Amino acid sequence: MPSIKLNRKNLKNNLTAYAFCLPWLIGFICFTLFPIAFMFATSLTNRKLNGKSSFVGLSNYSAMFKSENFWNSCKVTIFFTIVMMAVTTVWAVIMAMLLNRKQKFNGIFQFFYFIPSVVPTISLAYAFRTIFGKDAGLLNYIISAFSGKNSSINWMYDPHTVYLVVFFVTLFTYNTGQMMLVFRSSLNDVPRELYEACDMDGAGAFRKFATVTLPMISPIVLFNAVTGCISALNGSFALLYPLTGENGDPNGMTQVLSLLIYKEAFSNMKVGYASALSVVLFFIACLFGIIIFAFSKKTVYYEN
Amino acid sequence: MKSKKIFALILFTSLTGGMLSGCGKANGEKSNASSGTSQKVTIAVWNEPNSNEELNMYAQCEKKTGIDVEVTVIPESDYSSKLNQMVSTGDDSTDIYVVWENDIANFAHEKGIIALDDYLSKSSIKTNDFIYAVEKLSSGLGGTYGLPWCAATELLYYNQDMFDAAGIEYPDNNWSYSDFKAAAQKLTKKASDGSTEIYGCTLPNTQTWWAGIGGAGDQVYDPSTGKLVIGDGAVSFVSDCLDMVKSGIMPAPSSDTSDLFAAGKAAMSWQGSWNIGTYGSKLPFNWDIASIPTNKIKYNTIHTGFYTINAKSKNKDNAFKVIEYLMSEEGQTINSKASGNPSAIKSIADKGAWKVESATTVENWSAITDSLAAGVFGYTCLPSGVTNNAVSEFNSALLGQKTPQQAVENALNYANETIG
Repeated sequence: MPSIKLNRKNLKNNLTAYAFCLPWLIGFICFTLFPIAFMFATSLTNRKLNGKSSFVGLSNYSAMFKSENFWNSCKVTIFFTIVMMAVTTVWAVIMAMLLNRKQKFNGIFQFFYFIPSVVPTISLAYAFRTIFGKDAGLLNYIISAFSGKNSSINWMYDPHTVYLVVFFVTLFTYNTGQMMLVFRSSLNDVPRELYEACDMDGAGAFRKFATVTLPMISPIVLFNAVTGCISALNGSFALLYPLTGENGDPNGMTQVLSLLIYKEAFSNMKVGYASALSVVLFFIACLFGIIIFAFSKKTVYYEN
Repeated sequence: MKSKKIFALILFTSLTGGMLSGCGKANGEKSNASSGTSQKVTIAVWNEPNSNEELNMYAQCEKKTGIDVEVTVIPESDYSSKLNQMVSTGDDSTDIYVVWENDIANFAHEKGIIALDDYLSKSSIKTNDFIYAVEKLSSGLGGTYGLPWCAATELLYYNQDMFDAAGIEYPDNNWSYSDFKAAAQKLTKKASDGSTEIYGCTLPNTQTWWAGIGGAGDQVYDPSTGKLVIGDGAVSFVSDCLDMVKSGIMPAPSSDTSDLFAAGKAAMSWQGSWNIGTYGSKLPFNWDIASIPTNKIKYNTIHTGFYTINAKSKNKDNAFKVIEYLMSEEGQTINSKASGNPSAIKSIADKGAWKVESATTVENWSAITDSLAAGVFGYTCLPSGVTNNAVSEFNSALLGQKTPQQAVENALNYANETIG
């Protein structure tokens, strides 16, 4: 009799737990699993934005692999993801370390460093587009005023400067600001006695960073690298679309896959083809995740 | 414990009740609409209605017809894709779509919109009086699926003060392309270090690239195949622009968001006629308009949208009554006064309500009627991804990243890859 009571209680507990999980599970099935399955299925059709659709097998994939735009976008996506992830992570660590120093008005500095991160990316990109203009850009105006010569650098249309501008702008996105806050809290958790031991051994600032700080915050570096990578792959659209347009000007140099997917789905109305591109983006994201976790096994330090 | 259960019960009941009452309201609306008694018509557009009630054609329509007109504004950048999604999902929340040129044939083919012929046979709308381009587009659909809300065109805008200072005669509607190039060169002002202070003309925009290419002899759009048709004309026009960029007559493509013509940094500009209303009396110099200069042929693209009725609308009769008002002389006149765009109905357009009163320096109003007569439905019938891609290719050529031939070839290859 007591065992039946116990089983009932266990069952009730389990059902309660499942009931609590249910809202998430329903959300996951409806808004994640189903769209992914639908994307795979649609990639095998010639579905247009107006809903017209018929099964075409792998012809979207064969057209995609023959397209120069696709290969260019893959190269740009991989390059953009790696550099953006590195630039934003390093910048966030630097800012967090600067803000972690004991100084007056730290809160005010943090506020000003973080404020661009809460500006909508679209507005931020548009503002930077104006700043980096050629004939009417603010930056060229300032350079001209200081140099006394007419500066007409075509910042965003010159192949030599476009990446500089784009990666500079990424420093002001929400992702970087969020990373900075996470790093800052993790830096506070590094045991002080380790730094005191370093001081006793006469270690310099760089040595302390390389042998104490970095290993101790490495799990957070991994976390931020993964979120930064996913953000670069999926979230780059919001930054690049207003900054360089759906064609990734100049000459497709900034046309990441998310821009190409948008262009094919909403400008050319080819939803089936865009879904095939999305499948590729999905696998690239998986690949980046696998590589980062494989790399982290050797480099990330966990105390326990 | 008991109070928690009671609280949970109350919460559950109120949530369920809320949901049911929400559903109940929707059902109520549905039944009301399906009975045909609804006096509300919803219209999807991309531009905000005029804030002045006298110039708000929807507000005036409500007064005249007694039908409540609800305007849904969808941002222009997403307009076509949103409408496509609404048609694909059989959305019935919108009764009237104002459909763009590149969508009307697809929507008609997919039966997302209805043929208006039955309604038109009993209506006073003058369908035999449309400008030629509209008549031609409608005749290819096997019925009248849409009625043009207006007809906008492309024009040459010029700074009269700069022409006066350079001692050059003002352009007229018979200006040739070589007249334009010669004037652009003379109007360009250089600084002592060789950089350009005032450009002879601005870079063509996403619309007027096609006016230049069509004028140079290319067909641009073939209605029989639905394909982009560019070749020697495009190479010639891109090469001309490249020469002008190299010599500082025209600015290079850049991320500049300012309008160089309005800022007084360019003497001429090829732009849409809708900018007349935007500029009005706001520019700090005298300006006027002329037809796009004639190269091998006189060419510019007509821009419009078509009033269509959603095939899923439960309120088609009232939707047509609203369209009938908007296409009437009163509706078209209000639209012209508000937007500066002429009516696509010739007899109404001839009355000149589109002459924007605030544009006090404009004298050559005949440029608009002249351009409309020469206008065609060209690049606007192609997917925007194809035409935007081509413009990016042309811009790359102007930046010296590829030759004009390569740019045109790439644009054409992508178009063929996309359209099939």
